[in-house]
Amino acid sequence: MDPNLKAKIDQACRTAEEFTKVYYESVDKKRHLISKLYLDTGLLTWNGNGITGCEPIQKFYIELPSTDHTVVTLDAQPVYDMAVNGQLTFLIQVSGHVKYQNKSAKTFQQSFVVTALGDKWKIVSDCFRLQEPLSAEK
Amino acid sequence: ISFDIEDDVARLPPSKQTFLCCAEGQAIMRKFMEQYFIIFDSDSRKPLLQAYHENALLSMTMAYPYGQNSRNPPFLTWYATDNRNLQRVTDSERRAKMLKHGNLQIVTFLDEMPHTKHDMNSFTVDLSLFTPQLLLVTVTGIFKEPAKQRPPLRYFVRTFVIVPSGSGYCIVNEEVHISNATEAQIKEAFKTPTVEIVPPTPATSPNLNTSGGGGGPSSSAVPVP
Repeated sequence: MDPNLKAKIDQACRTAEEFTKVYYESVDKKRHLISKLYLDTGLLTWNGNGITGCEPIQKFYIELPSTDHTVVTLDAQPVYDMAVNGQLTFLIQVSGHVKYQNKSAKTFQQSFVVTALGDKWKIVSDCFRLQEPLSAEK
Repeated sequence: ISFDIEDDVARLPPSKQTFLCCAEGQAIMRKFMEQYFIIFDSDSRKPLLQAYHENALLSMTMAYPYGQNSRNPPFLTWYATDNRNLQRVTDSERRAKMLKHGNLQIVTFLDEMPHTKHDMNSFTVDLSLFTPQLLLVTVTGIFKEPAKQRPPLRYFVRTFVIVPSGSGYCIVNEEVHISNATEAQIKEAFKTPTVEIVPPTPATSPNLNTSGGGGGPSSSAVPVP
């Protein structure tokens, strides 16, 4: 394997570990700081509801019932260079379970695109889905 | 007497089946999904070779949903071997090795996966990014493994990074997550019969051509509004 790619895969995995730690700690315990993790133009897609930009995302999280996330699986890859103009960007996918206001746990899956902006990692896209049938969600 | 704030029930925003960051991406998405999953459910997944970039990356994770475990059926054993869960796979060599690299390795892997039939009506589709350089799509849904005696129902989440290629599109990154369907999902699965769709001819299927194709499926199997 190309050593360049190998190094990027390594970095993607380590970044994913650090990122998810920070992200779920923020969502569960420091919600007022969550928008700092997103790009100004960042997008949150929560169960099919799209929320764009730091301020609306911040507002969405403040209104969401309190959460307690447990990560079960984590996966990460470097995004193909040509698709992102060579900008260091990772695709991260998480699964686990989440309790809302100490109610029973629900299974969730979430995928992120995270990119380097200066010396900080920022979320370009955050896509969250609860594992539930559609009709029950309606 | 209790305090008002403690009585507040966990009220979550209602879910939506589809999110499109950009209406323009809808037609491309729809065609991509139809063609991809028709081939995926067919007897051979080899035509998907053209759907992946020669340097594409694919990885898979699997987990039982909350309340299920590996001691009770249906088992997810087949998917356990390639489970690239970074929580458990901590060695950097293995992390690189478990990433499928290149369309040949990817399609060989996909072709070995158990035979599937997807319930297109169960699909959720989120198009998060749509730029001239790339599309970012997350699809979730239910499939069954019809070859098994008591076909188990699975739940999948697949995130694709797709780039323009020639007159069509191809996948450069994909992360697959496989789980079992929950009791609630089993009740709703395969309720609406899907229209039988004639598989696309090889001439139009391989590169998920979205421009001027013709010959592709005429009816929409995926509920993209």
